[in-house]
Amino acid sequence: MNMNLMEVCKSYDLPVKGVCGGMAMCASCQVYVYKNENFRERNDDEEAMLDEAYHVKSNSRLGCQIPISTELEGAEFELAPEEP
Amino acid sequence: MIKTNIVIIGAGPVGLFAVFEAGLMKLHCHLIDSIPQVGGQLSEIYPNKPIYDIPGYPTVLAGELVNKLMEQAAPFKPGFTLGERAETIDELPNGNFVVTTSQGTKHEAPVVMIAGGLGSFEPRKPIIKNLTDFEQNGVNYIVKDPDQFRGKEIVISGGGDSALDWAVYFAEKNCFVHLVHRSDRFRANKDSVAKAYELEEQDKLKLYTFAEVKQLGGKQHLEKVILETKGGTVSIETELWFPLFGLSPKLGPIADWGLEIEKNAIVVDTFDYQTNHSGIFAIGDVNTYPGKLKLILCGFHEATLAVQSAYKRINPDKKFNLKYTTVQGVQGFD
Repeated sequence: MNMNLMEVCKSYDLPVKGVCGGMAMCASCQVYVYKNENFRERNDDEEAMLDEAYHVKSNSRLGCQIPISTELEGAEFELAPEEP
Repeated sequence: MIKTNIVIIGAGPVGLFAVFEAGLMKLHCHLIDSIPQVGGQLSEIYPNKPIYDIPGYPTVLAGELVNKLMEQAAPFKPGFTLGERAETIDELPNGNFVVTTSQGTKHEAPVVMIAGGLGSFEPRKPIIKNLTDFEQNGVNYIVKDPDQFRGKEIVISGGGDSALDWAVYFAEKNCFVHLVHRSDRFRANKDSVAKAYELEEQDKLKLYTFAEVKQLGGKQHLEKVILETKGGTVSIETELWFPLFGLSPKLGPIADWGLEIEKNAIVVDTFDYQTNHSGIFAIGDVNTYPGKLKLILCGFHEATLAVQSAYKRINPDKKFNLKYTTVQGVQGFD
């Protein structure tokens, strides 16, 4: 179904707002990645958005920029705290 | 007191289209929006992105769609209160409502339509301990009346279009600008970034990358900002700091109006998109009902049906006959 991580979270009613709908223009789908962190690099839009987000850590990613695929095997994700 | 037939809270695409549908029924509208421009999320978040699911447009840029909606609504001469957030709705004994904004502007109408989208766009604020002490006292999230800052030393934080555009603007108007950003990549337009570097070479601007304002100092008013940079702590003496980190939508006062709220949206009756309060409607992304889709085209439909009920509330003794626009044309207000 070509979903990304943000959409999966929303479809399970997790508290992910996804304000911009997945355009990497807000950071409300921020997640922290543990284990198998290097599935793919941040793209430019993701980097630029994380530069201005809150609670950013070195393992931060934007859920909307992570397509669900077998490359995520073994990864664990934690939802970042909501923006103030 | 501004008087109208319908007060529309939110001047995004759905609010704007409601003006048109109301106008066909000879109802005048006045729109309120917390940001200084119309277009809502389209203008604020993605003006240059193409939208592919507007009926009749295989593709249309979001900003272009807003322009078209303004053109469509123009014959019905809507009023606008922009840059002011709707704070309260009070009901008068005669059944009319008064909507009051953050600046105290009052609007009276028999019908209110809330087309608030995801909520009003509020500035994203940095996390600094004594920040609130300096808000309006040196720290500003929006630039108003830029001329008052001529010749001053200003600190601006941010990497997006707002931060870069204002940094360039002030540097070119006799201000010395310190532009602070957390990395060396900018979300802003490449031309604005190039211009900022150019101004740095002309000693009109200083760029601090991999830097962040961490502390504020001052007694009654802001006197300095303290940055953490790669090279250590830097203190800049200034009375003005503009943290321009963009805006994010918050439901805000809408949650306090006694309406039924579910998952940050207003519950409505799908007969006419009226809320639990007679005379108050909610259309577009701000509402919710079983099967709701947050699509602009759904909001357009909701606006059209809501306007029918609005007409009946305002003209209880008149019969309404739906006339196609191909038959009656568009008769604007004089």
